[in-house]
Amino acid sequence: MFGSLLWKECKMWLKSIIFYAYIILLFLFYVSQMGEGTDFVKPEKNQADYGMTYSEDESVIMNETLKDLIEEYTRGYFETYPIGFYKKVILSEQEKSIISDCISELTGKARKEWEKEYDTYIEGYSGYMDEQGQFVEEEKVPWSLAVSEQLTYKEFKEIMKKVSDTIGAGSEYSENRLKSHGIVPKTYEQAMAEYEEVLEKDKVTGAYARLFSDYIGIVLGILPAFFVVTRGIKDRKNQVSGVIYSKKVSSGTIVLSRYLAMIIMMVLPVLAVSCLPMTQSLYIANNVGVVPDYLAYVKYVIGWLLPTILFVAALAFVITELTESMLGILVNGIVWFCAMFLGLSNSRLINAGWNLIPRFNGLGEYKLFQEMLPQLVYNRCFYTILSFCIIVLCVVIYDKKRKGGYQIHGKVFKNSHSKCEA
Amino acid sequence: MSTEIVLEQVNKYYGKKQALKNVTMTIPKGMFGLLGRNGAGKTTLMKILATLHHATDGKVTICGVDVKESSKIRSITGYLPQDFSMYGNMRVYEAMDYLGTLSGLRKEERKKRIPELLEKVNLQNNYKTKVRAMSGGMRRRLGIAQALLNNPKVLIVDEPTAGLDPEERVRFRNLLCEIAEERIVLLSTHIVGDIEATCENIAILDEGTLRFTGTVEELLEIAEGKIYTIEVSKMELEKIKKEYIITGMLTKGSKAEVRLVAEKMPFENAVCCEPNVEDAYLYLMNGKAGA
Repeated sequence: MFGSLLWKECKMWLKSIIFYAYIILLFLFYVSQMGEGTDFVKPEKNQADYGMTYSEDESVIMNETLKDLIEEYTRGYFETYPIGFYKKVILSEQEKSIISDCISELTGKARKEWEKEYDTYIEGYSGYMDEQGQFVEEEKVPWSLAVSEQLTYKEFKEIMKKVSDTIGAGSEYSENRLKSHGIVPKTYEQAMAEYEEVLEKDKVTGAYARLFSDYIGIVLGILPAFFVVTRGIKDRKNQVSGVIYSKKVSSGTIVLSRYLAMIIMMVLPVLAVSCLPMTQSLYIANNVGVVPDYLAYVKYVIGWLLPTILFVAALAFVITELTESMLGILVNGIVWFCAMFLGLSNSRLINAGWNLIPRFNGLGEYKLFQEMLPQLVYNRCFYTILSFCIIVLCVVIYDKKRKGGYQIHGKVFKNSHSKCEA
Repeated sequence: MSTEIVLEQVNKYYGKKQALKNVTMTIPKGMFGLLGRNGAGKTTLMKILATLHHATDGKVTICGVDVKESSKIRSITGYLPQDFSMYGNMRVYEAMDYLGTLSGLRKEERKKRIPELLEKVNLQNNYKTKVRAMSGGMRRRLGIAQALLNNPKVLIVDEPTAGLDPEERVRFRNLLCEIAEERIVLLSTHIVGDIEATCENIAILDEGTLRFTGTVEELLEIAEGKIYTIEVSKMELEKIKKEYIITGMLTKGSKAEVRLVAEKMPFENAVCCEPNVEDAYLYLMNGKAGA
């Protein structure tokens, strides 16, 4: 019975304009974001730029963090991202004094001394826009402030904890953010090693599948809500609830068949759209003589994107059942907004976090992705389990509604306040 | 297992409003009419029987099964709601197939049962008609067909003839009578003519209270000797309207033949006549008789 119902639900979607609108939007988003394709080229010696990377060198991390800290301190405010949203923090005199002391501890220099060095650097700092519109820095006086040679990384982290506690939640100086300060230009050797990794371990297709997942994840953080809410509203609009409620089949079968049908009908277009970058990546793999991973996109879509769809759909489903309104879109819109801001505030290093929309906006960088992978796995498992729990709740709500519902302040379940029936 | 519905001291509240007040009755096999004004509690009672609402207190059993066992009840009941509809873009056969699946029928059962039922409700030539393109009458017939998918022992039909044209209404009533030969058909309506034409047993609800339960003959007996006809001038009509319950009126030029309810002979020239169900219903509803 479940299979039959599932099939019927899927067929219903095939006749729905919403389904085709979903495909078109998905496709348009893909074309607008990735339509031009991304070249995957072998690094050449003496190239002007190989891109940037995160340094593993503790000295680099410490010095770059120090530089950022001094710049923010002298600017007079700090950027923070508590719960993912940008917040400008202006410290009190007492708090400024704590930060200043920390900088002194880091540099091993008195406040006046490092402030003077910084002022000299700033006086010699200028820049101009080149022909390509890029800002080119000109440092007449090189940056000279560095962490004290005697300072260990452990001590550095302790000082940074003090800094972070002073600035407050979402500080860029918290322990898990320190590494993100150590951005350095890639060397030819590093670029080459990354390139080789993409060939050997990613089989090219994996790298492209990640980039695809990164972009498509954005739109899948909201689009399923529209899909699901229209299904819920459809029952109300067509006044079929009474008939369906009175049928023998269990609430679990109805809810699960609908949910699963929606998931299938939302995942299939994603897989279909993924064929476009897959073709590109297969072509590249063939050109560089690598045997591609033909299932790379399926793996990434299921492992990375499916939990997003599961969660957004489950949340929209339960809210629609609860309120019989479009509120599910609004709530999911808020969740999406928060997730996007969270994504913006984080670097790729820790971007998975617990964010609904994990970001990894780079082609290749296999090693970096491997660092992120365990957290990404936890993240995806978390949203999958959460979705399952929400759907169980949805079954309970649906069953209550079938039996006449119950009241929360007399208003939540429509089935229960139809006093006109009396 | 007895084919009857038993309600014992059933109460239903929506917040502070009491929709059903100590309703106790037994509904036997055959056509059973539930009559009452709009808002009398008919739909609430129907929904309790269809497990879509639960009674606040009291006991309800259908063919010996407590309505709290919703899964069992749903397998032996068919329900046609007042505002029956299906997804507009579904075709008739498709809608039946979908609802048949929800009724727990296997594919082979559906293949056999759906054509039988569509023929029964005279929709055998409309397999591919979209629900949104169906007339009100066709839609109700589809509603009956879907309610019979699981071959229920009890068919609950809520206001099925409202909005239908006279021809369609008669056809629909006949269909219900055919169906009632082998099961309980509980028909709720505020149209007295539907009950008169189809039901042997009836119950009358008024503001949640059961005012009457019994056969049509028993209802007529209540109004026996209370219905009169009289020919009056149109000038006198207004005065009569204020004093008596008028159940019918036929104007004849400057005069009018009035059918009214009265405890005793209202005028010397009034003629006592046989009550019909509508007379008896109005007599009962206007507090001229006890429950």
